[in-house]
Amino acid sequence: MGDGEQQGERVQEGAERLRLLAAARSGDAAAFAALFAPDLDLAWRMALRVTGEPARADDALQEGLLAAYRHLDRVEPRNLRGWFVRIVQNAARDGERYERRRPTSPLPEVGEHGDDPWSRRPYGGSGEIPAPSAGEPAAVAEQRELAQRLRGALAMIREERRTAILLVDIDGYDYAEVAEITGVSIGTVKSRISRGRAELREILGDLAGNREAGRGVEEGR
Amino acid sequence: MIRPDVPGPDEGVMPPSLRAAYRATEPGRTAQPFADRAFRARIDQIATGRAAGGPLARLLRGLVGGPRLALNGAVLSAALILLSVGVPGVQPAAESEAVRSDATMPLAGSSIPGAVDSKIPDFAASEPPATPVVVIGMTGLAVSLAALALSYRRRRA
Repeated sequence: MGDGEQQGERVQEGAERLRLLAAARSGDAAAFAALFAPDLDLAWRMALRVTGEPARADDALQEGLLAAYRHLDRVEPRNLRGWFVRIVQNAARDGERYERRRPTSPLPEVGEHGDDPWSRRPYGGSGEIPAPSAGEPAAVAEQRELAQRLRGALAMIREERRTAILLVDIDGYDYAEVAEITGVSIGTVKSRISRGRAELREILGDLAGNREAGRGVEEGR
Repeated sequence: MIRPDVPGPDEGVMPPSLRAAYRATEPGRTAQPFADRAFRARIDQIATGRAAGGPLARLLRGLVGGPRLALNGAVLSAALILLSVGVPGVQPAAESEAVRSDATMPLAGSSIPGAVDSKIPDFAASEPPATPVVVIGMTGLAVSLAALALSYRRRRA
């Protein structure tokens, strides 16, 4: 597909979003659902990276959607995606704060990662990624272990740096898109990524048993 | 959706093995918020409120949804103008003409015959409204309203 075609598609997409935004503002619920449908996965993933638990990310997404609909008159059409994603992220943080004040189940002890929910509940209530089962292929088990090391290292760096690294290195967004999603300048994104990667290299290099992963990051420089 | 094979701007910084491992272990979204009946009911409730308002309510919502700084500026400027010009019914000028013109009336509780209350202020000769304050207030209000209108137009563009 040529650049011209891609640009044409983007313009069409933008016009369609504007139409949906106008309809949603005048009370069309179906238009509202269609307006943010392309961003639901990203927003949910960002919420998951705050809460560390899919069920809480689901809640945050719902709360974020309700808040977005209530405040639809405040948004500028040129950055709908970033606005929506940040609303969902804030809903996730609010949920975490609420849970911290009123814990319904005993939480695992706070370790070296501080009180960061992301490190406490990586994708489940138990606090750990499930151990590989006996019949699991070695490659899958290795992959799981690598992911756990990376996740542990990521939990040790600041949230805004972690978010930028995850968006660029894991999700494949470019700097401009990350700037739009996180609501900061491209320069800030570059700085966060650069500092985050440096920290990550250091942590992965320092962790016992993480030599291989550390070398991998080092090689990629 | 995670982009399957779109390289990041710095492909290679995160080794592909780490990246693949992370992606493989990160869960995906399975819940559909709009399929939840209770959630849909809440959305419909908001939608009904929006649809019922009409164009005037939409304009008001649009203005109220403007930048906080401009909103606060407009409110403060309006308050400044009202305070310096005076709110009708509260300002001293609203005092009855009888009280104002009776400065020569003998004091009711005075033991001295013919004594008058020299402390009764002459409101007719009171200070004019603080003009510079009104000008500042009007300027602030105009700037704030312009910022609100600009923001409204940008959001509706």
